[in-house]
Parts: sequence; structure tokens; C-alpha cells
Amino acid sequence: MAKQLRKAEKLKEMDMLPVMSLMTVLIPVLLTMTAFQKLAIVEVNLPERSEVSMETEPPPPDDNALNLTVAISKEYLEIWARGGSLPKEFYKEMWIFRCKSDNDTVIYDPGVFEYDDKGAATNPPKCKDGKTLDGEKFKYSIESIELWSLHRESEEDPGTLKKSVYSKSDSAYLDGNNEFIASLSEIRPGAVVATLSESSSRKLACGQSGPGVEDICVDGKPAVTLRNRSAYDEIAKTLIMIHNRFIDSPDADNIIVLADDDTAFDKIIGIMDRARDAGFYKINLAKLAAGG
Amino acid sequence: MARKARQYGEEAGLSLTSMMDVMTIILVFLIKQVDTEGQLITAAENLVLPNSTSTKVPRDVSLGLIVDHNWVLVDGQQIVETKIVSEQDSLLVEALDAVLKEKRETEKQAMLARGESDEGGGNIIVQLDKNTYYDIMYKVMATCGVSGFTNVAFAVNMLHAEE
Repeated sequence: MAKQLRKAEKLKEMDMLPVMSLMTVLIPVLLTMTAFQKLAIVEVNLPERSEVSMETEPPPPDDNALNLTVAISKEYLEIWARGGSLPKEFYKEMWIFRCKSDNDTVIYDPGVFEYDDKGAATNPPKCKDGKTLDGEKFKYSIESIELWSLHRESEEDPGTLKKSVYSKSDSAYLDGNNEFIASLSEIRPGAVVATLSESSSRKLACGQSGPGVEDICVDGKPAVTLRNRSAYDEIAKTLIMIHNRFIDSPDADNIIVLADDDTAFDKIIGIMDRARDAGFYKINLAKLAAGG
Repeated sequence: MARKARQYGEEAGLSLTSMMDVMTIILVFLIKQVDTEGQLITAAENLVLPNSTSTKVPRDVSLGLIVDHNWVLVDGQQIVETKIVSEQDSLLVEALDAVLKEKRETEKQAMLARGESDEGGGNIIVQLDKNTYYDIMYKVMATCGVSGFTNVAFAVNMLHAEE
């Protein structure tokens, strides 16, 4: 009897080893299948095959058509619509590098880099921990390219940086007149603001949230930041306005992105993102004529 | 003496329960992460894709075109040096055009064999480094259009993966 009891007690402990070996196999298999970096696509419109010719001629002008174009040049972004142009949006380009050594970011003006004849930088960016990035491959470490919006009175004016208040989720605030908010004092609980997305009007609050109410606080303190306004946001604001105003036009969803030869792909995607968010789904790409 | 030995034998067993807990959590986490649809595009190794707010994921199998710092590749096959593309004046990259036309022809044949119209298809996903000049991008895109791949899409990193 006693012997039987002891046997039963021993059986209680389950043998986990086979399960463990199964898991050790399963985990690596799943790990290899996991995509930590999710990829998406951005579609562009290409003219139909028959229309593609190497000397593309512009279609005849249509008075009702919007003919919206965003031009990206080295110093400014410009929007053309209906044959006219809106004021140029000057910007200062900044490259943000993420250092592998300390996982921190450093900001550089791309104009400061000097290149030797092999195309490697002689003065590559320096990380905060003192290490320098590789002169040849430092461009791989660019995390993002930011365009800081500049206010310029004239062609000679070097310009002053515009500021704007950004929310916790990094979107710019707009006030009731559809203007960017440039001072922190306007962002307080009870204020009604909007962001650069559709029907985004919301009331600010501290410590509470709900439909139409945004909690701007973290640990009881407002967590909004005042920083350099992005030129992308300026363009986004104008594009949203144009899209709402010319919704009846036959090409209300079309936009053409024009760029200089040496514009980085990243900037094009940036502009395409803003255009798509504003409601222009049919994106065409075009090239600035040489010297233009 | 014999008794002592048995004591050792009984205490030597590893406690696997806590390890099991950890493993189960990791397992659940990984299963949640694994995309049920699978990835239709794989990121090329030596380039950095730009970040984008786009949430559109490729639905159809497409031809993959990669432009890195040194080479233009179609389906992993080196076609033409990127330097040559950036230096030429013409918008049409001839070497690339020849390869793409061939691929398009094969695609059309396959579609006809399946009894579909050969009008469809023509999907191509282009992967470009975020520092690639617009000039190169434009030439590659124009070539795709000429050779029959009219559904051009650019691969980007999804900035806000759906929560």
C-alpha cells in the first residue's frame, strides 16, 4: 500500500523535457519568420504605355483643371495650381544621424560636409560619445532628413526658423484660423485646436481623455514641445486647403511632384506622403528641365 | 552513505516550470508577430529604405527591382551599374529595358497560358536607398514604363505598423 502511494506521488511531476525541446525548436523557427521591419509600398501613376514617349509634351491646358504641382528644389518647396504659384516655402535641410555606438542622434547641416574625389566625406559627423562615423558610409546612418521651415523677407535674407508647437504624437497644432501655433502659452487645457488631419478638432485637457478631448499631459505636466516647424507640415497644410477648396475640379485627386535631379529619394517620399494624406491619391512624378 | 547518494539524485532535477513560463510567453509573442499573410517583398541588404506613413502592403507578387549604390538588380541579378545610369543623358536605361521587356514577355506568355488577358500584371516594386538621387529614380521609373511594367510602386518602411 505504502509503495503504491509513493509511486503515485512521483507521477505528479510532469516530464517537461520533451515540451522544452519542442519549444527550443519552435522559437528559432518563429524568430526567423518574424518580420521586425514592416514594409509597405507607395504607388505612383505612370502614364499609359502609348503615351510614354521620351520627349513628353505637356497636355493642352484645361481651364477647369487644377494642375496641382509640388516642386522640390534645393532651397524651397513650391506649389503651383491653375497656372499660378503660391509663395515659395524656403527650408533648411538637416540630416539626423543615429550613431550605432551610443544609439543617440546628432543633427548636421548637410552643407558642412566636404567630400574628397572618391565621394567620401573628409569631416564625417561626430557622435555624442566622441566617435566619428565612417566618411564613406555615413549616409547610411541618416535616420531622417528634416526640412526646417524658414521665413525669408527677400532673396538675400538668410531667413529665420519658424517655430511650431508639436503634440506628444509629433503632429503640429493648428488654431481656429488654420494657422500654426507658435507659442506654448496657447496650448493649455481647455483650448480648442486641430492637427493636420481630417476632422481633427479637439479640446485639450490635462489628465483626462475621451472623444474629442486630447490629454496633453504626462505625469501631470504638459508634454508638448516647441520646435522648428517642418516645411513638410507647411506644404501639408496648403495641400489640405487646396484639396478642400477644389474638390469639384476634374483632377481633384491628381498631383504632380517635380524635383531637381539631385533631390534625395527620401524627400520625394516625404512629399508623396503628405500629398496622399491630404487626399491626392494619383501621384505623378515629373522632372525639372535642366537649368530650370 | 547510500542514503546520501539518493538525496543527491532527487535534488539534482532542474526546475523547468519557470523556464516553461518564459518560453510560453515568448512563444505567444512570436506567434502574434508572425504575419499570417507572409512578406511579399524582402528588403535588400545594402540599402536603407525611407520611412513613410503609407500603410499599403503589396497584394500581388511583383517583380523586384533594386537600386543600391553600385548596381541595379532585377530579381537579384546584376544588370547595370548605378554609376552608368546616373551618368547617361537619355531617360531610357537600355540594358535594364532589355531585361525588363524579356520579363514582361514571359509574364504575358504565362498569363495567356492561364487563359487570362495579357493586359493585366506589369507590377514592379522598386527598392531605392533613401539617398538615391531623383535623377536615377526617374530614369529607372521611365524605363519600367517603357518596358511594360506600368504599375510601379516604391518599397518603404512602414512608420506606424498597425496597432
